[in-house]
Amino acid sequence: MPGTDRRRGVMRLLLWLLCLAGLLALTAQRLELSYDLGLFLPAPQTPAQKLLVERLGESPGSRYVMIAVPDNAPQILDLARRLQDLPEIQAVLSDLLPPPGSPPEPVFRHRFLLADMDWSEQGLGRALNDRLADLGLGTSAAFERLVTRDPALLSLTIMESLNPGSAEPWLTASGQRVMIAVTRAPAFDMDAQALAVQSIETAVMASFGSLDAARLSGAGVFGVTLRSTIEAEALWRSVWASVALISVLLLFYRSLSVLILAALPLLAGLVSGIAAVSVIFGDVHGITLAFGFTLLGVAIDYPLHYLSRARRESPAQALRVTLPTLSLSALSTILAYGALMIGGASGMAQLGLFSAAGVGGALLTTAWLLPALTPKPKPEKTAVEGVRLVPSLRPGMVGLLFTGALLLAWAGAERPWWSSSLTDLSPVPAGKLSEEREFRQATGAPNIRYLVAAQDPQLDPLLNQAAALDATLNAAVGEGLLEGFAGITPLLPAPAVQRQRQSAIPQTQALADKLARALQPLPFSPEAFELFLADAAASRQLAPLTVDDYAGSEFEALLNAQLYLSADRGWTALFTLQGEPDPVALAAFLKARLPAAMLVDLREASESLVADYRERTLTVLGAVFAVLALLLSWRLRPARAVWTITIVLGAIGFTAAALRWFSGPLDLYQLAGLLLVTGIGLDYALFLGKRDRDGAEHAVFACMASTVAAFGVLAASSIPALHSLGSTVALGSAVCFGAAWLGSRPGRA
Amino acid sequence: MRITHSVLSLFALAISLGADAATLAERVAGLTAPGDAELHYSESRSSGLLTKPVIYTGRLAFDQEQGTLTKWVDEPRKARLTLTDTQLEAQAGDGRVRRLPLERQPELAALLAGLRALLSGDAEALQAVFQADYLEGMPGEDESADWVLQLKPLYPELAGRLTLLELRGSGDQLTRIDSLMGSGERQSMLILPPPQAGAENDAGN
Repeated sequence: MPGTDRRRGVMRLLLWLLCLAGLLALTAQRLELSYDLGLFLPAPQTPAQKLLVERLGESPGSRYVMIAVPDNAPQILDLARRLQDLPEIQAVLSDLLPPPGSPPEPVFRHRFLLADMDWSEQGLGRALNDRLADLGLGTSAAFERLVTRDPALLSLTIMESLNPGSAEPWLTASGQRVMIAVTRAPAFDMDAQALAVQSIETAVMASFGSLDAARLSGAGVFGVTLRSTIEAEALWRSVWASVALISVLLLFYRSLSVLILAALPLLAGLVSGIAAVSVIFGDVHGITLAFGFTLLGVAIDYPLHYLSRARRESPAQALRVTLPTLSLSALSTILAYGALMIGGASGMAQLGLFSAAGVGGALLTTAWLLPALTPKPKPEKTAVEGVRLVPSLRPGMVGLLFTGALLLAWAGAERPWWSSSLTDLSPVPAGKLSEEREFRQATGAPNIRYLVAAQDPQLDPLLNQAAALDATLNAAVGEGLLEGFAGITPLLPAPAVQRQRQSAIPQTQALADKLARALQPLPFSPEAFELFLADAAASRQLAPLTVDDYAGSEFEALLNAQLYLSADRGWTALFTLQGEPDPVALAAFLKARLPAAMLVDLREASESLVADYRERTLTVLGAVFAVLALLLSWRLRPARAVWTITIVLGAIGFTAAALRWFSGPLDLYQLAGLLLVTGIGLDYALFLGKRDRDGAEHAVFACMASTVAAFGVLAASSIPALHSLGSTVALGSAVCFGAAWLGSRPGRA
Repeated sequence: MRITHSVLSLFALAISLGADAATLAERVAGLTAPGDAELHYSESRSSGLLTKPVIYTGRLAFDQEQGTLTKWVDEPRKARLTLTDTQLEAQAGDGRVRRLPLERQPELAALLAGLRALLSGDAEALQAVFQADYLEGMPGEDESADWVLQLKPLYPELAGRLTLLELRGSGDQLTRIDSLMGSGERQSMLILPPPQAGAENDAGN
């Protein structure tokens, strides 16, 4: 018989491995890690939310790497040269760099279409007189060349209206000078950003001899530093959490084979989770993996229930006793996790599918593979058997639990339940954020919170609207509501406006005559302006400048950041604002002058998005609890079903109230943690609520101890996501255990 | 560079009534800023844009309290250039003001350091920016001068734009500034006596 058992075990193990290999093969072809955070945001509702989600990581200024260095001009210019040579860097901005002598194409060629020019004899005379005055202040060959082609300096006017930089020296409070490297890659492209940051640091080293004196800031820099610190801390914390978990299991089971057996369902869960997501979604989000594996943590409990039994009973007997409750627990958890799939965001749907499929895989492995591999029971008293000595109290404890939760909730009544601030979620230390703000102020880089937007299904009407908005914002600057702004109008006036300017250019001979008359009283040489006449004649033949004409030019990135096409709402033009505008006054001003324009508060949009998202998740969870109640009352006797739901709800309510009491409003990570606690709580309540719970106590206690140990390690982290998740799950599972344990009596029906 | 030249013209402020000096240190020590007095100048500008050299006349002023230097162009058309500690502000005939942070041009910063050295009579600081040669008793092309202070920029970025700066004077009076630009172009500025009876238009080159 043992021979048959062993053969059966080997056969099943081989089959199981084959299944996993098959799933992995299925996955390998499709697995494509993506880090698009937008996937985790719910479908945006308001125009501002839509704008936020569409432009996530692409808002103007998000590609800025701001570099503060000691104020030493030669070294800074040396650094600027090095940065300009880097393939990762698209442009280098510094107040120490000279402005371009003449504007780049296609702006220069189209200058007479992009700005208004007075072509009358008087107008030409005025421009020429101004240039005569300029010559009295000083001359340079480059300036003189520009004047011969553009006597009214239209091209400079266009460039000036584009440059949003501060006119003051770009200095920080501590006297460092700030320069900006604009990366080619968007801020969310972490690998490219990491390369860019590394290259920038190498350049700083080369120019300044050391990195100590330099400070780097910006969205991409934060992402890169965080990724490396998070990866490092997440790694060593995971290692220690695993060590804690293994130690607890060894303490409870004193068996290496139990450890290995308990790991198999987890492994199967992981593989089936990835396979399910990659088959249905095509790619797997990096965050799905991280969070999904955490949610899968509940699956470690399944083999433990069985293995605790199998210490004293035959595998078949142990399985027969545990499987019904195990299935019910797993099914409830699958329901709870699966609810995430209807949450609205594809990233969350991935997470839900991953965890649900993973729990399913873990359950199947526990039920089908483990009994075939379990050695014969060797009855012996294990170290923690003594747990059974703990007396069980009356169910009145449940009332105590609810009372405690209510008390905690009441005591913290003045605090909001939920935090919607993305800053609270942001793992960027507050000091770094204020440094970033300081650098932005110093350089006049655009405000990243407020934008003004205009939208239209068609591009041409949008460009007209943008021109009107440009004028309105100019008026706002005039009234002191705004320090400055930058939009696309100087680069892309509406085609009709361009054609109108074009038709105002006189015929070649007529212009030559006007110019000659204007030059008459002046000491300028008439031949000096032949290029101007030629350019004006050529401008009459030009087609109006379009978005496509800017492809490949150095204005391309600027335009892409401020003008874009979205599938459902057509074209959007964005205007960036300088300084810290008063949103109420500015919104009122815009409403009065140009109601079509929209002042977008990106922070408000993101907060409302988080709030919407949470609300939807909570609604879905509410529905899930209703379905769970139905499921439990179908499978259990009503009293036990009510008891189970009550215990879980009470434990979650208590945990949430306690977390709010200790650490303030709850964030999204804590919400995710509570979801895991739901799965864990169901498991504990189902097993401890059984009639013959004696056999289950050992397993449930082992589950609780290992969960608290592992998540306790995460709770000690300084990274907000790990801390929130860890503390929620550690506290939650302890509370669930306490509630289920103290709230029940042995032999209770 | 246009700006470089604009600032050069402000060197004319660095004059004062000083005793006869035998050495560079004495000459520079004697050249201190003339309070808030205005200094009248005349300069001839030639350019490929112009049929013939144009004479610009105007005033130079130094506000000692604010530390600002201003060059007013009066003829043939009004313009203004103001230099503060941090920026250069140019206002052309159309009234449009262009501002340029000074640090944008390191060579300009060097030039300004030299200018300040001259204004404060600090020969040592002057020599940190320029190789300075002081010669007496060689009138050269300008017969009214009996001394010349030749300044050659030491800072390579500046030397590329400005080859030589020559200040000439007669006794206690600065009379002329010549600058030889990196491009080979030569610009001259004559310092006029304070206007008594419309004498300012006589100054040619």
